[in-house]
Amino acid sequence: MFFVSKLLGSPVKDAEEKTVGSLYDVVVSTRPAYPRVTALAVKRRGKLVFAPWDTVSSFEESGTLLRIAGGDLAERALARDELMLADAFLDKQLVDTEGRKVIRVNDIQLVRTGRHVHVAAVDVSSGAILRRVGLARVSERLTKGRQKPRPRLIDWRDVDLEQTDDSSVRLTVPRTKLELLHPADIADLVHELSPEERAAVLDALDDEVAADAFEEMHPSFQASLLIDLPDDKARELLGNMSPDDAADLLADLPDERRAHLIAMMEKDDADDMRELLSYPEDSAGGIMTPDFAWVKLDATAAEALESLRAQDEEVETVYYIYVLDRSEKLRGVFSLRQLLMAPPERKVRDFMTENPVAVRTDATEEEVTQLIAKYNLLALPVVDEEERLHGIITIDDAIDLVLPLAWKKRLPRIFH
Amino acid sequence: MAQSLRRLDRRVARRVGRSRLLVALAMLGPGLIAANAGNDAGGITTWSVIGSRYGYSMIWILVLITPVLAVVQEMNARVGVVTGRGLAGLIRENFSLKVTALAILATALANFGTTVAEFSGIAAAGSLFHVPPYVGVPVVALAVWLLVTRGSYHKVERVLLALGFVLVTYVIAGLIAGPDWGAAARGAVTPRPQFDSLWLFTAIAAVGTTLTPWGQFFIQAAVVDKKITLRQYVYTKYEIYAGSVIMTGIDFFIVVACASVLYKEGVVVESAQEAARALEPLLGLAARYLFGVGLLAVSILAAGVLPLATAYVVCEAFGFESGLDTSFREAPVFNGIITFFMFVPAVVAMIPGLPLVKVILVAQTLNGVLLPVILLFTLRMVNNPRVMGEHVNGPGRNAIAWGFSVVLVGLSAVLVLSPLFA
Repeated sequence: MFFVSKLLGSPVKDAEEKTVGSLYDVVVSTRPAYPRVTALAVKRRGKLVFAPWDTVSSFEESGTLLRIAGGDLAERALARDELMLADAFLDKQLVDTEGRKVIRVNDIQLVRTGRHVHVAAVDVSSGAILRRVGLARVSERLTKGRQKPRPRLIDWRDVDLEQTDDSSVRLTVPRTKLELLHPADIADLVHELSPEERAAVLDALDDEVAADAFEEMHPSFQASLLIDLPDDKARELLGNMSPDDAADLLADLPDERRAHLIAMMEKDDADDMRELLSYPEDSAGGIMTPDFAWVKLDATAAEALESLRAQDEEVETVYYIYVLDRSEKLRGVFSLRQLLMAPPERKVRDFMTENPVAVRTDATEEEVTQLIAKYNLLALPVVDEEERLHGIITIDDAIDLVLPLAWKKRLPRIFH
Repeated sequence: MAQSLRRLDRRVARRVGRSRLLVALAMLGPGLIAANAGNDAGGITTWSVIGSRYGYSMIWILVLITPVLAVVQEMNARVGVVTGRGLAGLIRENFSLKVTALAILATALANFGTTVAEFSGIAAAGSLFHVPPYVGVPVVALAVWLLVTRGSYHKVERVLLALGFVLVTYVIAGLIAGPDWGAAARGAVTPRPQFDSLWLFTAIAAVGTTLTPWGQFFIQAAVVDKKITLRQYVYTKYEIYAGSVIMTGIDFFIVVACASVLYKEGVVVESAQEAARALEPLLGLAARYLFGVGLLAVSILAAGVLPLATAYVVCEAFGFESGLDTSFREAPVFNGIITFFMFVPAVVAMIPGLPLVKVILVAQTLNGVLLPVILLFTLRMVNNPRVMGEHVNGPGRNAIAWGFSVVLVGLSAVLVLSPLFA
C-alpha cells in the first residue's frame, strides 16, 4: 500500500533509463468500485503526456520505469470514465450527504493488486499532512510509545465520484455514519479483484489485518485463496481462524493441498482438524467447533471462574460452561449467569443443569437447528455414543445453516 | 384612469425602492465590520502617534491607502462570493501543501499576537475609566466568547456593527479639537515622504495596521458565511467601498485631533491611552472619555473578529466544519480554536509588565511580511479564470493591486531588513 502524495513529482524513466519527466498525476478508470490506474500523466518539458499502464514496468515511490521509449509518450484526451486522481481529489474538501464539511483529502491510498494498482481509501489523518510537509519524523515522535502512526482511512466506496459545482468531494454517507476502514472492508475490496490479485493483496497485508479480512470473505474465495497463497501465509490465516471454520475450508480444498496444509500446522491444531474433517461436512460433527468452555465435576464456583479466565482466549463462547467427568463425559451445563450468582465455595454439580440437551456427532443439520430453536440455546453440545463431549455448535453457526450464506454476504451490496 | 395608473406606478416604484433599501441594509455587515476591525487597538495607537509626532503631514498616506484598501477587500469578497469558499481553502487547493501550512501557521501566530494587543487595548481603555485589567479583560473576553460561540451569524454581525458606530467618538473628538482645516487639507494632498528610519517605520506601521492579512481572510469568510449571492454582491461591493472610506475617515479625525492639540504643543505620545490622557488637560475630560470609549470599542470588535478569522482560516485549510451558526458539537474544532484564541491572549495580556509595544511590533512585523504573500495568493486566484470564471479582475483593479503589492514587498523588505541597519 502506498500514498499518492509520495508518488507525485517522482522521476519517470524510459526503457533506456533516461529521465522522461516527472510524475504529474495518476489516471484512473472510475468503472470499478475501487478505481484502477489506467495511465500515468507525466510532465515532460512543461507538457503533459501519458503512459498507458501496460507500458509501466515498475511503479515505486522512488520513481517509475517505463517499458517504452520516452518519445513514444503522447498527449491524449481522457476517456469518459477516466479522471486524474490527485487533480480531482487531493486536498479537496470532503462533505457528507448533508453538506457538512468532514475534513480535506489529506492523501489517497493506493493498493497494489498483482499487476494492477487500485485506489483504496482516503487518508484523513493529520499524520498525512505532517508527512506531506516533510515533518514525518515529528509525527512519528508524537506517536512514539503508543502504537505506530496509523493512517485514518475512509473506504473509497464511500466517496462519490460525481463532480460538484464547488469542486468539493461528496461522501455517500452522513458524517455520523462514517466508519473508518475496517478489515472487513478490505475483504470487500478483495472481492472486486481477480483471483491472483486477491492473493497479492492479502499477501501484502500484515498478518492480523489479513486474518480479519480473510474471515469476512466468502468461503469459495477463501478456498481459492488458500490454493494461491504462499504456505506460511496460508498457515497463518488458518491458525487465526476458529477451528470449525478452518476445517470447513480445508474440506473444500483438493486432497493434496489439504494434507500439505494440515501437516504444516501445530500438532494440537492439526489433531483438531483431523478430527473435525473425519465427520461428514453436513453432520453435527462437521459443523461443531472443539473450542468450548468446560470445568471438572468436582470444581467449586470460584475454581470454575478461575479456569474460565484461563480459557477465555481459546473458547468460542463463555456463556455456557460444560461440566465433564474424568472420562470427558458430559454431565451437565451451567450458564455464566448461574456461575456469577453462585457463592464461590459452592460446587458446580450442585447448581448445574443435569442431562443437558445434546446431539450425536452424526446428527443432521435439521436436528441441530431444530433443537437450538426449540430450547432457545446459545450453543448445543455434540457428543459421541459414550456421551463424551467433542464440540459445540454455536447459534451463529446454526443461523448460517438456516440462512443461505450467499444471501447473508451479498444482500446489502445489491443496493450499492 | 391614466392618472390612477401613474399613481400605482409610483407606489410600486416606491415599494421597490424601499425593498431595495432593505436588501441593501440586510447585506450590510462584512465590509463595515472588516473595515472597523481594521481600526483596531494597534491602528488607533499608530494614528494617534502619527498625529502627535508628524502633525498633518502624513494624512496623504491615508488618502492613498483608501482605494487600495477598497480594491483589496473587494477582491477577497468577490472571490468568496464566486467560489463560495474561504481564502485558506483556496490556497490549499491551488498551491502546495507546504506553502499552505506555512502561511496558515504564520497567520495563526500573527493573529495570536494581534489578539494579545487587542486585549491590552481593552486593559488600557479600562484604566482610563479606573477599571483594573484583571476585571475588565476577563469580563470582556467571556462576553465576546459567549456572543461568538453561542450567537448566530446575524446576532454576532449586529453586535459587531453596533460596536463600529462607537467610533463616531473619534469624529467628535476631532471636531472639538478645533483643527486647522486648511493645513489638514494640504497634508492630505501633498505627499511628503521622509527617508529617516523612524518615519519609514511609522509609515509601514500605518499601512500594516490598515491592511491586514486577517482582514483579508475575515472578509472572504464573512461573505461566505453570510451566503451572499452574486446578485446581492453589488451591495456588498459598495458597502466595502463605503467601509474603506469610513475607516480611513475615522483615522483622519484621530490624526487631526492629535495633530491640532498635541503636535501644536509639542507633546509626542507613544500609545492611544497616552494620547487620551494627554488630550485631557488641553481639551477637557470629554476628550479622554471619547478616546477611551473608542479604544474600548475597537479593541472589543477586533478581539471578537481575530479569533473568528483564525478559526475560519484553520478550518478552511484543513477542512473542518465551520461557521458562526454551528454549535460546539457540530464544529468542535472551529469553536475550539475560537475559545483558545480568545482566552489565551486575554490571559497573556494580563501578565503584569508585559512589554505591550514589543508585542504589537512583533505582531505587526509578522503581519507586514505575511500581507504581500496573502495578497499575491489572492491576485493569482482572482485572475485565474478556472477559479473565477468571468469574474476575474479588470485591468484597473489589477493595476492598483499589483502596484500596491510591489510597494508592499518593498516596504516589507525594509521592515525585515531594518534591524540589520539600525
